[in-house]
Amino acid sequence: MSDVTFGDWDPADAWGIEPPDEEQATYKLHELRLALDQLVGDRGLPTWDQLDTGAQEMARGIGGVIVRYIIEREPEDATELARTLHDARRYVATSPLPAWDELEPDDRQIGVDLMQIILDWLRRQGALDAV
Amino acid sequence: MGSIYLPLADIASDAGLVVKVTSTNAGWERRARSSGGFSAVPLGHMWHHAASSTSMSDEACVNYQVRGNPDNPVGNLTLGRNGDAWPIAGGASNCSGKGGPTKFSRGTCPTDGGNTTLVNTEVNNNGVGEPWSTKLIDAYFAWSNAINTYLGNLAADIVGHAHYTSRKVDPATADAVQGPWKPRSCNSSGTWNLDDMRAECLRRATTTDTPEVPDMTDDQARQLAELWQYCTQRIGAPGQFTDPGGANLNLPWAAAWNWSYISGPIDSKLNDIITRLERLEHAS
Repeated sequence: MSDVTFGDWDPADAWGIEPPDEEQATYKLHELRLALDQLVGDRGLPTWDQLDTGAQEMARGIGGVIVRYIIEREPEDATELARTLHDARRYVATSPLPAWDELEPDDRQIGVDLMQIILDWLRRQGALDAV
Repeated sequence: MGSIYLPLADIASDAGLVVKVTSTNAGWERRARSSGGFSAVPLGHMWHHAASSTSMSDEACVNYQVRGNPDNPVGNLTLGRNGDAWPIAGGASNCSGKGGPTKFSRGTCPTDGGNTTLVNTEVNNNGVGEPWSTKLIDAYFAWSNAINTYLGNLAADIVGHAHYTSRKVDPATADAVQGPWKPRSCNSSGTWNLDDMRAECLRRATTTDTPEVPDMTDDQARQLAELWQYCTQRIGAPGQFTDPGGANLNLPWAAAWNWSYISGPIDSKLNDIITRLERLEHAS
């Protein structure tokens, strides 16, 4: 009984036995980016449905990078995942992105924090144990 | 990494439930836990209650399941207090978690596999004595039988969360169930008895409340045959229709061609039918 509004919830209810899915990783990352956008004062990041087909396809590619990385390396370190993801974004970005090491420390930390949230999300649901 | 996403709204609607989709649960079609859709057709249906406050609206309950909980989506579908159906996630959800294994007619839900091998339904009920109205109970059974039918399961392919894991007590309480069905409780928390739940699913699956529709009269059958002959000539449809059972033109045959047009006076409908056929003919 962890929540008075939904007492049936127990963190163990999230446990499962299947590896992560690229599409859902993509949605989760975009959900986190939207939350971040709101935190910094709403810079107008579109919702998923507002993205055009090309942008959605690119985002799915990023989700695919996350899942492949997790499956291949079974990571514990969010920094390495964030660096890998940034490199992937540089590869597919329509505008030039600076290299990971050239980013401002705060920007790097935001990337690391996002990836830590993704890893924690997957860990809670047993996805990292299933790969 | 499953790819099966269930058409929950259609299944619920076909079962006679009122389906609610607002901005709160929009996008349910592709919503899922981190592993995505179901990897295989779910083996059964798990019953829950939300243990929500009695002052909590259905939509607030759904909002928690869709975005309030960091491990959303919690459950695949939620029944509101009046039995309305709120689709939550077409793919696998986070609702049952650690527990099992549990046997079903088509296989065994493995240990900790409830989220990815079962459809999970929540109900906005506090689970400690809030009444389960007859309407809500009817909706729960209608939904359970409909989803299991859709999945190719037996009506008895169900389990309660409490029967799956000792961590839980839902669905409860038995004493709070209103209407003719009176489940026994199986513990001091009032959890519904699983045998009673399965028996009621089976009973309702084999009982039809649909009134018998009278078959056509011989005169109506003759008129329908003439109409069919005429229409096939007008639009060039191939062949002469024969009754699938080899009997006289009867109700199943009529139903297949829209009962509402042939259960009443056919003559008065004839011009309308021909007009529609001509429109189809021109469109093609």
